[in-house]
Amino acid sequence: MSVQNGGSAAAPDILLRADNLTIKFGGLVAVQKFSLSVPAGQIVGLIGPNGAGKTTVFNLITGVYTPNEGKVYLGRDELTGRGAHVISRAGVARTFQNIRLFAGLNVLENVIAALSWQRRGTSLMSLFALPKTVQFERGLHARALEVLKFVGLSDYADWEATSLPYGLQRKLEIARALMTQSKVLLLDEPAAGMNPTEKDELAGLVREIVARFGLGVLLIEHDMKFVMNLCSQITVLDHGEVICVGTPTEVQRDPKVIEAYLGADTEAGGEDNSQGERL
Amino acid sequence: MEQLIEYSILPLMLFGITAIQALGLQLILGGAGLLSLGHAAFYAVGGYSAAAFTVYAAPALGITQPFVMMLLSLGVGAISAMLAGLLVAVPCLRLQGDYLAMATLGFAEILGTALKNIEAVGGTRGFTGIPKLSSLLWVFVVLALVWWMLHRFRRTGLGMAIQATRDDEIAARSLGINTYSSKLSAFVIGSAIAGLAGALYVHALQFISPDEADFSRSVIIVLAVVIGGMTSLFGSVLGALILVAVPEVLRFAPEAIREQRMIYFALIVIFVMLFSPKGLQSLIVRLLPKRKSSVGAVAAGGKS
Amino acid sequence: MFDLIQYIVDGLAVGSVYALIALGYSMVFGVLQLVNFAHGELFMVGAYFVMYAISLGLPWPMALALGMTFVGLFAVIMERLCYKPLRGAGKLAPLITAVGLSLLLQNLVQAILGPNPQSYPAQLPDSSVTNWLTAAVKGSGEVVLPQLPEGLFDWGDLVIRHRDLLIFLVAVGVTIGLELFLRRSRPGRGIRALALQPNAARLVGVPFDFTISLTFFIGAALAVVAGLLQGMADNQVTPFMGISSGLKAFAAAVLGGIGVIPGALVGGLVLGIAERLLVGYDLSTYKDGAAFFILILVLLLRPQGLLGKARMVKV
Repeated sequence: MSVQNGGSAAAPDILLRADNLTIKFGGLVAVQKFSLSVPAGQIVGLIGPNGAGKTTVFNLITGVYTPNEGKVYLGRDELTGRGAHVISRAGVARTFQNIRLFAGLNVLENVIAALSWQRRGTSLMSLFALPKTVQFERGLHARALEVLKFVGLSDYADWEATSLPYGLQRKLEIARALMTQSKVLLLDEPAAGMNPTEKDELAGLVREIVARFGLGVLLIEHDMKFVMNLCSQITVLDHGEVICVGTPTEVQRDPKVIEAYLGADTEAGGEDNSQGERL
Repeated sequence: MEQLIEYSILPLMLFGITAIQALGLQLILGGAGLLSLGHAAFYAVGGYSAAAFTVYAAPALGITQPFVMMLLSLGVGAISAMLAGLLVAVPCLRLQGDYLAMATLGFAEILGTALKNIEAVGGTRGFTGIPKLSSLLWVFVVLALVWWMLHRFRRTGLGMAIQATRDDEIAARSLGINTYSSKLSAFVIGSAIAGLAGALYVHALQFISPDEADFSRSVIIVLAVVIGGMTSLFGSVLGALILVAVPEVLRFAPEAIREQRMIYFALIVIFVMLFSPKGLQSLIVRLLPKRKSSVGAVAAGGKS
Repeated sequence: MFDLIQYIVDGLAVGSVYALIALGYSMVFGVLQLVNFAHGELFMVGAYFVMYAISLGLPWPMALALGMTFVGLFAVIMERLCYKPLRGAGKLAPLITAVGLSLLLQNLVQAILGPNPQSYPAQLPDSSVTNWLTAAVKGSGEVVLPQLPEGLFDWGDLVIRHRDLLIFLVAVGVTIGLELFLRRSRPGRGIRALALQPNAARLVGVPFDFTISLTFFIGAALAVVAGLLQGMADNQVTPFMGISSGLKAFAAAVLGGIGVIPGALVGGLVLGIAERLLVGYDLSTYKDGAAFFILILVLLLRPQGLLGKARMVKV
């Protein structure tokens, strides 16, 4: 199966690099001097208490926000300040914490939409349904089916996306991101709301994605077991600043991390995964 | 019998033309999720340009064959409406917020004002002396073509990008979709389709006046699309049928009822938006025998 | 040269009415990012209501107060029934509903009261209800029509009519009052908080539904003031005054910076002056296009409006 062609042979070194990212909203510094790198074929974790700025980091990397300071690189290309769609096309795909599927499209179409931009130049042609565009559409269709099969959603291809069970909606977001053939995949709390079996399955899927396509994965997750099992490197964020970088074992022993989490526990009472937040 | 046929040609033609307009607006409203309150203005741009082409340009170019003239005037109508659409949409779609609705409305007012002051196209009296080139056949062939093209279009890459943009702009951008150009394409194609309808209209009635750009005409098209069901092409055509047929049928009704039809239409629109966003077409679809698998039916039920 | 100044002065009165309507558009847009398309119709309904109340024999201040309350409550009910269920359903659905409401109100008034303009005092339909109402309200007294002052300040080349000055002062006064209310009072601050940061406002305990209702109420009440002024200035009301003045007022709100209270005043005045200048220099056929020409220019050159600040997009 050849869903991805951004092969593993090309770049064994750092794929995604964030360098001293800072963003302020009004007077409030949401993220300060954030740096991180994601190598090819590895899963990097980004953790921290609620409100630490994790999703803001994702938004900075993917171009939803433009950082006030700092730079984002993919390989050697600088992506800072580019439009979100340009960054995506360059090879950074993401999923969303609050699932954002296309409600008016079915499951298969949600996946197809992820590569729809490739035919930009031929918009007039597609209006007249010329053979070339029809052929291209068939190709997209086939590829989308392959991706669905890979994540295990083949049986739901003609379901309305938003009528899927919660866990499957998260998988569909991953399928959509995979369809973009990106080099780096950013997963924002992919296991939220899943039961333990589903979580195990998801962990397997993420590993398989990395193994098969050589992607670099950056993962935000509250379930510590999930993160510790999957990630080779973890960055801990608190109040918008990196307080620790290291392997799972190193991070777990760091006193600053323990303090950040213990201090945050009182605030994070309402979090749906709070039982998994303990280190 | 012959009289009946004679009598029904004009309403049928108006139905076909309104249906084409509605299909164009469906792409903008249902496809891209944008509200154009000046759709009739783009229709008028198409109509006036097509008329100006056959009256002034075609004789100068030595084109006399009616079929060729009609075909070319359709092209002129579509392209001029498209350019007008581009002019209005480019500044608005870059902005956050729903300025497009008001700017399209504003464009319609400006166009109406301008047309009234251009003597070459008849000023306030309207543009007369346009050759009769269009016919019921032309109207329905164009309607069928537009319908088929738009039906195909939804499944093309651009069609998907437009719908994805409508459903969630942030997600669409995160997947590499240029949401600005998706919206722009939808708006411009929809406007071009309105221009086609305008070209058909002027060559059927041999007349067009600045009133055709009026806000009330644009509202009629919005009503057609929303009442019929803005999520489907069939709904737009159904809506056009309702909007054209109701006044015809009410011809024989007491005046009090006839005069109040806009009240009923307005009430239906509010009702549709609040309780049945898929419009009246969903009622008809529900009555038809089911073809889809049970999985599809469950999925469709899940949304409403 | 004196012509120019005269036109500007005359334009201020027209612009003041636009400004009063624009305030409502601006407030609702600020809080809900919704173009309340039916707002112009509230202005029209208000003008009718006050005119009928006066024609029944109510003193005008009471008629105005009743009208503001009635139309304000009407706007609140409209929001609860038609907009509230659509919160979270995207921007398109409430916008289309608003267009439907505008159409409904305009045609309802036309169907019930007739399409022709009506002037003061209104001809009341002869029925037992109106007779009873008239008797109950009027008692023995005559109908006292509200009169805008007729005098003028005459400085030779420059003439300022008292009524124009009054209308202008009302608009300025209302704008200042509203701005003070929004900055100083608790419910007013709630409205501002909701406009700035809806989620944060909820967290700190701003009553969400109440504040939105209040916004609609105030906007509608101010539109009634505009309706009375316009009705008296033209000495007539029509079912179509809402759509024409309403749309221009929206353009004024965008011009001044939608969501910014003094912006509505500035936008309205500039638009009024622009229209008056076109009429003054024999371009009156272009008058009705002017508002929209300005609207499109603003969207092109300075989309945040004259007094607006560019806002950070919320994700």
